[in-house]
Amino acid sequence: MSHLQQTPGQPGISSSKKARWTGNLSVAQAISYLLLAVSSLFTVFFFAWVVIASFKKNRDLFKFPWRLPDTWSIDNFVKVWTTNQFGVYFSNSIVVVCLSVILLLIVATPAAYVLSRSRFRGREGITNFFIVGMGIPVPLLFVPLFVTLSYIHLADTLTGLIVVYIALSIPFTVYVLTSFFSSLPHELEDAAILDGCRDWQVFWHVMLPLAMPGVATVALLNFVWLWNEYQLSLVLINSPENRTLSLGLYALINSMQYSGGDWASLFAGVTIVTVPTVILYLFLSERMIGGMTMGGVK
Amino acid sequence: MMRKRMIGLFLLPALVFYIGFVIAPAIQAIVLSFFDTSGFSDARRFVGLGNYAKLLGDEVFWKAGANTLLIMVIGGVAVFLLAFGYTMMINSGIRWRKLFRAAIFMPNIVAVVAITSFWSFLFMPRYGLLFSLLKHLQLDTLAGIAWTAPENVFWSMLLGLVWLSSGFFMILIMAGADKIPSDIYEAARLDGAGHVETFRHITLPMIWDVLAITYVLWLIQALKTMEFPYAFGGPNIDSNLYTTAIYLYVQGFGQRQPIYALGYATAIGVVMLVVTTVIVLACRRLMRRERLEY
Amino acid sequence: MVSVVLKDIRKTYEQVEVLKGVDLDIREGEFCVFVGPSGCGKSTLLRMIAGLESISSGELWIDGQLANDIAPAKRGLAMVFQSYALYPHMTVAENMGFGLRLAGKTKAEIAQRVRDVATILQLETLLDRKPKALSGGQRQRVAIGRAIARDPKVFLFDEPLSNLDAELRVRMRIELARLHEQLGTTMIYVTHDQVEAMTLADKIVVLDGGIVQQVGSPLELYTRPANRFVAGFIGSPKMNFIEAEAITQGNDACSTILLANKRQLKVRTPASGSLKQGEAVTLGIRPEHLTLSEHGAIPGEIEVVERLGSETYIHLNIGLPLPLVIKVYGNPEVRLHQAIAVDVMEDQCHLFDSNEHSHSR
Repeated sequence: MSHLQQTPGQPGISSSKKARWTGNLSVAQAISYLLLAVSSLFTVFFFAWVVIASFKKNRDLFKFPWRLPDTWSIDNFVKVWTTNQFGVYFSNSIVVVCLSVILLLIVATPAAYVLSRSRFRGREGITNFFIVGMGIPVPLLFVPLFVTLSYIHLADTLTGLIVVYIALSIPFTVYVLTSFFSSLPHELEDAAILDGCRDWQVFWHVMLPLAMPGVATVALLNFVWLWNEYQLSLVLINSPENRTLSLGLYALINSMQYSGGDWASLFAGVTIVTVPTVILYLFLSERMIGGMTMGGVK
Repeated sequence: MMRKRMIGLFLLPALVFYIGFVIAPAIQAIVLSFFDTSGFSDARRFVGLGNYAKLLGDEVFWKAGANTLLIMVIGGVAVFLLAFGYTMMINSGIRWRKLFRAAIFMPNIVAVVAITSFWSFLFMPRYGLLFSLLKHLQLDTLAGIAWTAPENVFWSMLLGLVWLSSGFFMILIMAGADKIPSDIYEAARLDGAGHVETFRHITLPMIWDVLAITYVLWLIQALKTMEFPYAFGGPNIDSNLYTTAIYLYVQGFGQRQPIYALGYATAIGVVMLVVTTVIVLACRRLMRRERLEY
Repeated sequence: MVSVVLKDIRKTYEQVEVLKGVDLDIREGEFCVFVGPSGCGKSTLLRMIAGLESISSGELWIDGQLANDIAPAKRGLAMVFQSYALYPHMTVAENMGFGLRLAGKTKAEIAQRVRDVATILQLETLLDRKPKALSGGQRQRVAIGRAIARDPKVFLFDEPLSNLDAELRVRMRIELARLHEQLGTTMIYVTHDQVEAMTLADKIVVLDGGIVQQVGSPLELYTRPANRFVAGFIGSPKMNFIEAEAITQGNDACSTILLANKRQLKVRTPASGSLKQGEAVTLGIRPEHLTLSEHGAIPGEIEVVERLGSETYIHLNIGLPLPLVIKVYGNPEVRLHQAIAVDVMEDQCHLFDSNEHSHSR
């Protein structure tokens, strides 16, 4: 640990600057490279291993977990998609998550706009009201949400899930979007007003297009967290045909109790669940990470 | 410049969803916790603080609470050491910063269930990855450890949880470290500060605020922990893996057999809410310290 | 051609009165400049005329109509902002046509108008570009073009040149002057730069602390400032101020004053005849109205010499807390710490009473 303590000489100075005046690596840097490489490789390894494992047959998997498969087969994928209903789960997830995100944006963006740029009494109060929601522990809501949804006949339905997803995503989304809207220049609003925009037109023609980067980021973040979400769907969804992908994966693990250790299919399922977000991440990692820091530091 | 009506219109949908499905249920939960109910029928019985009294005597609850506490404290320290370490390493002037950052953060965009399935397989006795690796390396004694046995399963789970969370918190800490303007480091260099002095007298004090706030974030998150341990434990989740949130779920919706002690479950939830609020308030009080302006 | 009249305009922000009763009469076709230090209220006044801020009390008349409650877009105004406020996601053509689009004009009308305006400002080749692909000067012109496209009765400018570098500022100043001549529309212009005010304005309104200090043509403000603030604000380098006491003596055309450094000076008696014997006054004399001479009225020692090439500023220590600044054309042969004296042009002296008002009023 002492080496690590010595390392942080110049956090914040860009690597190119440092490289210019040290030339070759310091001991600290070499150790950093090593440890970071190990951590990163472990992560990549985990993912790669899971993907490869899904192409193996179970026998292979257990006998030689570390080797590449003798024969690459997609049987596991087929099985998981059809027999284990992952095809259904996948389409459920797509529908639920896409609809949730779209509706969430429609609902939260105007609210965030008004909270950040209009002057009215109670503005701060309402903003704080929304933000408080981020601190409410979700498990607290398990029971009442289940009860409420049952009451309006939406329990165990995808619609009910969508409604809950939207509601629970609102605090974070409003928080991020209000800070984003506040950063837009005021003069553009004035120019739009002088050009003849009425209040909602200022939002629609000028502010909203400008906010697109922020909106896109928050949409992305919500997509990822909803796609991976499973505790709420665990509570609110019972019938197999309504399961989302994450929940389906969990159910698969459950069922492995009875069907024996069909781990290879399980990993095929894992691959199906994780591939969409990983692909998004490959292209948009910077945006996602940036978005997290925007929202994370309260 | 907006008309009042427009403002209302813009806010209304969000408020409806939020109040209807977040605030109202929260209040409902608090109310429900004073009842003994097994469903949404009329078998309701007002028990006042009875549920809470029962909680006090409930061994399993205290075990779950202790687990949660372990996650909050030991897990927290481990996560922060790792996250801080990562930050310092990535900021030590090496290349490929973005690559390392992206790779270490990656597990956080993968479904928790997927990650736990991997970690379960890793720890599986006899066929697991770890087992076969250790056997290869002929570390038989280590290989003999039953990672998933009841005594050890919590720690195995914690290991995975720490690994996952450190990537997330690394991002937050890095954001704080990045805010320090590089001129300050240059001034320090000119003043003759070496690596260690710079770290002790400049970096550390300046990100202290960020570290503190982030730790609070961790505490709140740790309190809610449910997904990771629950998926890790699988269908027969051992009570050693319980956290307060998991216990809540079990009481409310049962494991193999439905329990449906809804009132009791929400009482647990209310306790969680209270603890969260206390933590947040306490931390706000403690952080009345002057905020560094730069 | 439209006039703008302000009657006792006041503005209060959260219990603080930022504009304390402004009366103003801007004639048709005039180029009127609001000038003053930061926080004096000039931008607020402009925004109130535009309708972007509400008027706390008073009347605003535009083109003979009471405009207090008319929506900004309907007042027949157009504004050029300090940061240009171009819509980043629209092309130059779309930016210029936006107002017309909202007003419901047909696509053909809009296209025609945009083209006409682009020709006036030489923007034809840039019509399809987005603002981020333009230079500062080009963005400026697009902002102006957007204003012209709306065919307004009055143009409003809010410190439009502040974001440009020095050279560009000079060029754009000339273009604006030319534009005014070409279009002949009433223009109201806000700036903190007195050079812009002096060169562009037909009429200057000097503001300080929410109160109009003086209204007049540039030359009027220069030669006959109404108070010490205006005198010190207009003209660069700043006017010199020396505390003194009046000793009326001799023939009535000239009076004598006793300077704080015990020197006596002859100045022209103010026409208002308000100068009293023994009164405490402040003498104001511009650096360009002082001349170096061996046996001048005020001796001193040279502290600083600033040579600009075409002119030289000399800071003379005359025994008072602040040095006297003298502007000399060319490159006189002077050295630091040289003992020298200055002569004062009698008829260029300004006298200010204890309320800082000018005695010539």
